[in-house]
Amino acid sequence: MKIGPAGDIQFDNEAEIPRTGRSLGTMAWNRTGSWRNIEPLYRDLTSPCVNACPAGNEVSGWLGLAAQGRFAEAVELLRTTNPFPAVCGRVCPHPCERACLRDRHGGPISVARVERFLGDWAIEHDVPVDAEPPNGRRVAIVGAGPAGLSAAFQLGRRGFDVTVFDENPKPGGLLRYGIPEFRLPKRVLDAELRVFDSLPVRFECGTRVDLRDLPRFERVILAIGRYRGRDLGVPGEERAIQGIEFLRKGADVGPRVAVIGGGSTAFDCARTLKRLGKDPVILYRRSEKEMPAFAHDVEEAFEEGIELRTMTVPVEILPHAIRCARTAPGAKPIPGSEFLLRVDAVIKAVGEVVDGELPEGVPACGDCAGGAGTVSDAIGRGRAMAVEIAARPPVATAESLNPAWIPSRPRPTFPRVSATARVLGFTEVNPDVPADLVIGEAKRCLSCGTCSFCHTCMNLCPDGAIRFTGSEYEIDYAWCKGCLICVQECPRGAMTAREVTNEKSPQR
Amino acid sequence: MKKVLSGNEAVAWAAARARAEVICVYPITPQTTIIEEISNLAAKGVFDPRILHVESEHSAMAGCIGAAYAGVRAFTATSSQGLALMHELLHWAAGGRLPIVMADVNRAMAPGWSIWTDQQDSLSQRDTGWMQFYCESNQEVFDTVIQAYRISEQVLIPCMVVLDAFVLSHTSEAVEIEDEELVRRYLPPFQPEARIDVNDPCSFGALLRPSVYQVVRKKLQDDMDRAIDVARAADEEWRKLTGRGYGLVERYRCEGAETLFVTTSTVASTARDVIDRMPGVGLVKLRLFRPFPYEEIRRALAPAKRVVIFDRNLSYGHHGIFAQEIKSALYSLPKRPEISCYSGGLGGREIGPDAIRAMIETAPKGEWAWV
Repeated sequence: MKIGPAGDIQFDNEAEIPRTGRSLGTMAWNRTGSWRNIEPLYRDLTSPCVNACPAGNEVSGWLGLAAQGRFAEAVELLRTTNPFPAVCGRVCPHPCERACLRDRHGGPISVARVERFLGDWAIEHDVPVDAEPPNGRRVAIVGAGPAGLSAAFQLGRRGFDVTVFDENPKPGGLLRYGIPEFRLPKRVLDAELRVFDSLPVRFECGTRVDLRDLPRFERVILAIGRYRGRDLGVPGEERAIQGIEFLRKGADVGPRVAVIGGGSTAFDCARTLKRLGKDPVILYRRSEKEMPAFAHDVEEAFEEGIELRTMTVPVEILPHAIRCARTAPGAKPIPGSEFLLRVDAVIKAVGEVVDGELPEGVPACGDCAGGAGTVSDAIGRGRAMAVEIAARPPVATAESLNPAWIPSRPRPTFPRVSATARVLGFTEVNPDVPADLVIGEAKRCLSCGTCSFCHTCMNLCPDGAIRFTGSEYEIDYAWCKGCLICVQECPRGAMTAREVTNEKSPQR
Repeated sequence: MKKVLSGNEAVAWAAARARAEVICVYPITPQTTIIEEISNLAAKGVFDPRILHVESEHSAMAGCIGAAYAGVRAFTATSSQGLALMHELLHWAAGGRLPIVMADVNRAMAPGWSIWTDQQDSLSQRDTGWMQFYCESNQEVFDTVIQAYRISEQVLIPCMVVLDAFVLSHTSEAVEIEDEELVRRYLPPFQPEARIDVNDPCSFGALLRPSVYQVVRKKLQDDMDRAIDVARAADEEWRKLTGRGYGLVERYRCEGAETLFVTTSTVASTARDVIDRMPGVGLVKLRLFRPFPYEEIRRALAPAKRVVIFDRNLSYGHHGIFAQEIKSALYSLPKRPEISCYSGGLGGREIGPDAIRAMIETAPKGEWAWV
């Protein structure tokens, strides 16, 4: 018995062949792979929770890590999209849970609980932030709300030098000045803001910034949110307080308070009033189902005994009362349905708009730029802005070029049909021009900032430490002593320099 | 000890005495009381098998095959549609050389739907490589199941023990149940020639090139040939221990008989009464069908002038299966008897003494006739 050339067993005689069919060798020689005309391959699908998250959190990813007790890694993964799990675990309505496919197998995962746990755990264990070394590129962010903070975090992690301006005394935006303590304790927000301690991010609060004062920054991002409350458009409304202002600084009001609106601001106001010993009633012009407030906030409000009157709209605000009307579906007031509601104060919380006009040409993110009005949405948009900025290298300027390598060659004038001839008809003003004239223009391009393989760096390196592979240049750092002649001479600024830390030194 | 048992109960007792270790169970009329009785016996502690409830007869045979590869004694029971469902795995059990014993309660194949006896189901599996014994009484059933393990484990070929639906399966007679000690002496523990062992991994039944496949199959055929003598010896040994033996082909009142009536199963039992009243007529009962006992059949039938063969089965487009095989065995005789072939009794239709007498007394025109 021996192994044949194909790998199969070859028997010398019939007696060697076992009658029981027991194998005597391997079948690996039979490459059944040659039979296929269709084949499997690994490719992931997006988990519906990840898809539903406005911040793009890798929910299924960090749930898996948390399930294995790998909390630090879960936090690290969380932070790639969201630096504030302790905050979001408390205030986000978690659309991921509504998308969860476990709903028909026992109920959706309590993602909020896990996220909150991981956030609190990260704070308690002071999990360090995974960050790249500083790259010296400066970015200014105006607005220290969730969008601005998210952008600052993602840029800071990538080594950017970020300054965040905010007119309020402390950072946080709506997280601090809008969402009440019973939904988000300030100590949690302050603890989570410490992620910035290890990053090249600084805050300048209590400052209203003028964009003209910011030329030293490579980029400026606006993230100023929506802080101007909408008006009701009814007589006497100057007697009503804006909900968003009430949440920021409170107000001295009598016991019976009407809160107009059906969103988060309205409910936060009503529940805060209750806790201050007041007797709030929420008036909303449409049906309960149509209220924009989060379902769990509404549920909790009912448990707290908050009064809600739907299909009710204010018509006039009087010194100690509101005249209201009942509405039909579609929020149309029903004629003849008016009634008087005795109140000591009125709070209006019917939506917010951007305060003032945004300057043109300045990138903006979050609620001030069409955001959905939730914390997770703002975080997602802030991050998207940061990633977009980080993806692009700095813009080449005149200082990037080395003019010694740029012979001046004039831009040609392209012929036009003479004015007297062309007004006689409708033929094109600009005729076709010869190809070589046009290609000559293409050749004049300096390729600012982008390597065009001119070999200048390679030819000038005194140690011959640069070589061309056929598709790119390689620097042999075993020989490069850092004279930076290549950087200086590169005609188009496609090289830069960086500090060498001990870890990077090849001598080590 | 003597007990009044149905054929199915006798099967169960035999499986218990043979100490079958893995029994895969799936019900079908009229076999179900076999597995019910096995469960009773196990529950009472008569023996201690691992009983696997499976979802079909195909799985029942698969389970037995797995158990046999693991080196334990396996048993199952089935009938008609269930046996048909196992078909591909019957090939596997035989080709895999696994000494599984199975009771098949002969039941007609649907359609029409019938729960009564004929031999179509077992004979449809004739070519799979299983041994087949056809039994005439509940006592014979008990004895044959035990003999089957002894023969199977020596030649490494699975064995089907066949009994008639209702006529045996659900009819009671006195059966001597030999005690454990005697059966233990007769049937030593199973020693597999090859089995699955995690410490010595291998595969079974893998790809065989054309040059090798026929060699392995020839070994099966060689062992089938050997099995005739092994079966005879096993029956002899059992006769020595218990006083009961049946042979592979039984000759009853054949001396000087010019006409011989050849049949199987319970029709043989009815025929004995008829033959007792017909001088010059003998009964030849075929007990072992696979391997086919050519020599004994030739020896038994050569002296006759006329042979009447009754088949409780039919190969459509041809005639009775036992008849075909017997005729082919007699072909080599220098002087061949006249042969009459009958098929009948399908779907449990009565084959009483009058029918048997009529077959013996009249000859069909042509190759064969219905009765």
